[in-house]
Amino acid sequence: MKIIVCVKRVPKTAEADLFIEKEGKDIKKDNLVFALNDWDGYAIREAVRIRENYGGEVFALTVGPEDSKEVLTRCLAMGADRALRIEEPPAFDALLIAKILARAIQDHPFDLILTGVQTEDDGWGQVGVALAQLLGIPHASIVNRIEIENGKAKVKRELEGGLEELLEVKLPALFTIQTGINEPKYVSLAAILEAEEKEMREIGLEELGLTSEEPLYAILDQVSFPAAGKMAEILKGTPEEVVTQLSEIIKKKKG
Amino acid sequence: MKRIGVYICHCGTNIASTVDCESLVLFSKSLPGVKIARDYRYLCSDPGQELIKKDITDFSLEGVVIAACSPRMHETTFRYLLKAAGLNPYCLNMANIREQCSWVHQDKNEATEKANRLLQAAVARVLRQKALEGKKVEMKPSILVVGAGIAGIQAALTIASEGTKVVLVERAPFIGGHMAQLDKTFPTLDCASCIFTPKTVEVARNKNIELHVCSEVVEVKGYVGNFNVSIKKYPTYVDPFRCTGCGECIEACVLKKGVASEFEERMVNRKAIYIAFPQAVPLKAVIDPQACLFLSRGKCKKSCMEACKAQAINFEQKEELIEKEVGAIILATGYDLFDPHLLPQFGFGVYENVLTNLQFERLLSPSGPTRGEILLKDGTTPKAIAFLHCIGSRDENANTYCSRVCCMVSMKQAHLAKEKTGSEVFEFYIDINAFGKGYQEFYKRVREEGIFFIRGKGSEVFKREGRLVVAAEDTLLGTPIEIPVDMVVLGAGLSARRDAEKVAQVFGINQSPDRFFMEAHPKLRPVATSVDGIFLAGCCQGPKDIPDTVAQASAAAAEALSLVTRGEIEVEPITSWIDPELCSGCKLCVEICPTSAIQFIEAKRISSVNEALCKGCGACAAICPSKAARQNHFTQDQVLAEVEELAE
Amino acid sequence: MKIDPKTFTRDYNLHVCIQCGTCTGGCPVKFRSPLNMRRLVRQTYFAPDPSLFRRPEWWACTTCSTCTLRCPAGVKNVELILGVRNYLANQGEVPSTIRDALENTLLHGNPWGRFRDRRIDWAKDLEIKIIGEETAENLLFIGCAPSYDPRVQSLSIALFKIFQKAGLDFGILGKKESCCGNEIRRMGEQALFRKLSMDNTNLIKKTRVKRIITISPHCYNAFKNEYPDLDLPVHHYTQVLIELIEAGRIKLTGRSETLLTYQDPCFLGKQNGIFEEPRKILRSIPGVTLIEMERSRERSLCCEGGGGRMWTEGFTEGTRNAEIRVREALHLKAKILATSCPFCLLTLEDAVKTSGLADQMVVKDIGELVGEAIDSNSNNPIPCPPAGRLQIIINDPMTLFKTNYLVD
Repeated sequence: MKIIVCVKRVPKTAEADLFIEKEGKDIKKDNLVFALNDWDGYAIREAVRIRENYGGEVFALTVGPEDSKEVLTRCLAMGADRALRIEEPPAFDALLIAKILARAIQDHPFDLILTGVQTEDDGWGQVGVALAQLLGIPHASIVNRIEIENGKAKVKRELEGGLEELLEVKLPALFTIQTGINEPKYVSLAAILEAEEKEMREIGLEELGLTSEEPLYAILDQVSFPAAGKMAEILKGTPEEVVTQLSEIIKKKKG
Repeated sequence: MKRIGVYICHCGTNIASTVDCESLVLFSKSLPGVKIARDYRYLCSDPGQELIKKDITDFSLEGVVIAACSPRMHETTFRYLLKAAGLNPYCLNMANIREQCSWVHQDKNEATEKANRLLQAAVARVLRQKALEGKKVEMKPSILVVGAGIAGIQAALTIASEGTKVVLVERAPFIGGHMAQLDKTFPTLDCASCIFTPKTVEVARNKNIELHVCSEVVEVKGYVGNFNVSIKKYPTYVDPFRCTGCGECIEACVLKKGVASEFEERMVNRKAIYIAFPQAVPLKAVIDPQACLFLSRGKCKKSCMEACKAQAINFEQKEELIEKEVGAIILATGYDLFDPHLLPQFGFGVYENVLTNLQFERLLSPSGPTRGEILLKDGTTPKAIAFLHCIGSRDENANTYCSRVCCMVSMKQAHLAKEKTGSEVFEFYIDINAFGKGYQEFYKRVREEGIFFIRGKGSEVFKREGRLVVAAEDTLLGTPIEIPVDMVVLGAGLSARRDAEKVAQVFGINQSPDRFFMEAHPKLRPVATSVDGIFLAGCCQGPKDIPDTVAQASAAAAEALSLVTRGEIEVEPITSWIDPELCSGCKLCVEICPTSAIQFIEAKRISSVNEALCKGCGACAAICPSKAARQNHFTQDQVLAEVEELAE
Repeated sequence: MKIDPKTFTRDYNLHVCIQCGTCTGGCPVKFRSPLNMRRLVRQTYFAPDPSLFRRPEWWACTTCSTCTLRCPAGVKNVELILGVRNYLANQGEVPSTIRDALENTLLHGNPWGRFRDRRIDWAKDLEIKIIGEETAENLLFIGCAPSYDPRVQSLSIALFKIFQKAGLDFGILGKKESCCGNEIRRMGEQALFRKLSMDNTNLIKKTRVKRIITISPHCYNAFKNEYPDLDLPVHHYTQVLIELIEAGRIKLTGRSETLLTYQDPCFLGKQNGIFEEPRKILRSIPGVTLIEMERSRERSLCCEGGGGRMWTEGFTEGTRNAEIRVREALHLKAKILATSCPFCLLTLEDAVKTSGLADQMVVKDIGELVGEAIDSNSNNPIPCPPAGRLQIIINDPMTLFKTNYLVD
């Protein structure tokens, strides 16, 4: 089974102090901590699991700046066999990323492509699906279980309200992977240091026949904080006092 | 030139298989001074020795070189041989072609070449060796025994029965040492007092034994056969010739609380004036000057003096210094118990019913604080008692050695405890050391009596809901356990005395790494020390039980007697000598001598060697800037000749 | 980094083990888990099948080190556990909660997964010196729990105010401070520990502090005993407090007559021999009577917070040691259970709550008690549940921006 996994390096923002850049088109990132996109981690682990069961190779790809090499190292430490970083264009949208990935993949035969459902930063959820279309292969999104049988994949999709959809998809195919599909294994620092010895290549856009000024279909206009205001009311006091206030509010708002 | 005979030993195949002995013979014949050279299979054998003896006569040899094993093996043998043949024994030199040649090389050519060199050097040296005569030293006819525990007592009695005089010095006010504290002894369960009281009484009675209690040896000068010892006799403030041991003074002593009694292992207090225990020998009261209000603070109405009908109390008594001359010394200073305060996990000193084995012994003893009943501090009988083995022994955090006797002590105490109280008894052990006569049988008996043996060292003692709990693991079952008991007896080990360093220094002897006094050879000379004339007996040399102590004491007595009754001994002449003409009086040799054998003579402003103390180490010869100090049998020209031949 | 289990015997001195059982006998979790140190030593000694190391009980150990400290033969028991955990961690085979703690430490510099940006939020109302921007004689190394855990933050604040009042010249590393690594090493991540120790050491060497003061005994242990290149004196805050009290730089005023008992933390007490300083401090608080629990000092019962146990679940069963300790304190009629370690503080306080004793006893750190005794205006009625002000922030669902919950 030749498996390709597309990954992204994203900033962790849950509790960070966030500031908007002066051009208003992005948040300041130099004080943030970066890591492998959560969904992509599950995808890599799933790919390695499938390889352990059926043999083959796991090839990790990313489109990103120089710093993205660190997530590729992590993918190698997690069991990927080789990795490739493609230079990131100065401006991009989901379709462009899919186009770049498609170009990079077209020379590599594959049985399966895995991506994450979405990223933690932009959250578009589009790249995997668009990539499948550009490659002309079937896809399934929000996949939380994969079984391979005779050149076909039986996958479960996670729907709302606890429902699941079972699909049978002919390989080669692309699946976008949902979190919780497997139990992540710890990646030790020792494993990461060892992974730095494994094969990792880097290529520029020209090698794919692309320029750094490809046309965009979606252009980012502005990033801003939501207007703060009288949205939140802070209740102060001892626990007894607060509970009293809270029950009043609930009564007033009728449950 | 001197006439030399060279003899090469095959030592069976030990030498001959790697060294070509025949070519060695040929080579020897070419060396200067060599009149005869032979090889033989075993030179140390009778025919081998006869061969040499005959040659000495036939060829009028003046020096002999024997190429064979290490001199440590047979130098003495061959020296005797030379003497028997009428030659001075110091005209012998041995070339070690076994340990230092055939045993460490494999190539025959190289080994033979090396042997040639060694022989060459040996011959060059022997040509320069001189005849030496050992000095005769007179032996004083008495023996000092330091310490009057069972070891000292046994040694003293053995010596006295032969007719030789003994000076017996004891630090405590009574004799008997630790054995006096014991109730019953293993494995026969003989009552300790019953078996040794006859001995202590004999010591007091015997005219050949001069007993000094409350005394300590403070200085030792001299050498084997002629030791000058200074004994400090502490004032007891009671005249032993008047005191009847009635004990009225003790009743009268005003000290209410008193101080912790050493004899009772600090479990109860005693007054300032006291007799250690009712069967003490000598049965005389003594006053502890630090506890006594009059002696320490000057304020007391001295009710003791009033009470004493014999008028024996004398606060004017002074310290005495006694000088004695003895021919040999036996050290029998005993042991101190390991202090479990050093291992806080056992709660010693925190919980009142956690005791040492010696403290438990006092509880067992009918003359002890509870009249022989096993009672908790609150006066009730314990329903469960735990005995913990190896406290402070076999432990990297305390003493690493095994204290040998504590397993048997524990089992004896467990047996007696069960007999007296009927309580549940637990033994927490790692191994059972039941090595002696009747010991294994005793172990079996104790098991048959229903005492529980748990193989697991007690890890911790704590209290839960008012009861003491021992935490351990039953390693045979592999389950951790916590057993509630009422009393815990810690099998504390035997350590060297706290002041062992000081005592070793006074007598000039060495200590082993475990702080006990060091014997001259661990297997073959167990009672001698590195100092000629000083012997060891009992636990001061290492932990041991009473049978072994008594045996060692008799052995020390026998060796001391054999030395002293000789009348005179010959001291080996391999000593140093200082040429008075060349000595400049710089005293460097005096400082460097490890056995303090060199004295500076003020009147003549030169240093002089006492041959009896000199061990022939050569340090003085090495350091002397004027070349006045010389080492007999290792003179500069002898050693340099050897080196020159080797280095060629 | 391939670790060969066959080297364990030589590395950890297993061949001298005489199987006496002192280790298992003194283990604080001996009845709470199948962990049997003696048996594991013997099984490892016989060049084992690696499945031995996949047994869950290797993770129940709290690294209190009682076994190593008491072993009469010189076996390095705790080091064996750390060696096995290292062997497992390098292969990624750690329990999932430990995995998260380790991943968080690599990413955010603390096992709790909190962000660096939030590391000095506890000090936002204090005029604290950040060393690097300014210089100071003493570095107060805060540590992860005292930085992020709301319960322990009050200790950090109390110590800040005490040191300020005493005129001590000190500062903190601020957001650059990373986990000391003590628990990281004990969870088996030797490589990550080395990285943390290098990073912290380099950071500290660049400042020109003359002494490091730690709040947690775990940090104290790491700096004092396990950091290879740190050449500075390291003190636990109790050692500093008693100095200041004895020099008269802190004046302690009265409080109501209280019975108080003290839990010796394993990393401060039995491992590093600091028993007297905390007691001296407690005895100098007027009105306080200190009584000792049954198992105190070298025999203190481990609270089960160390050895990565803060981040494990399910390897033990039965009554927690912390609950046993709380009941021991209750038995003595103590109203305050004092300690000097953030992990003891958290586990003991948890135990007070789960035992339903919150109205009879409080758990306080020595720093908090001293802080209260200095501030003569404070009037903390004892007994009382932990004083707290609860803030609930009601979010309008339209607000996308997450805010932090503040419970102090």
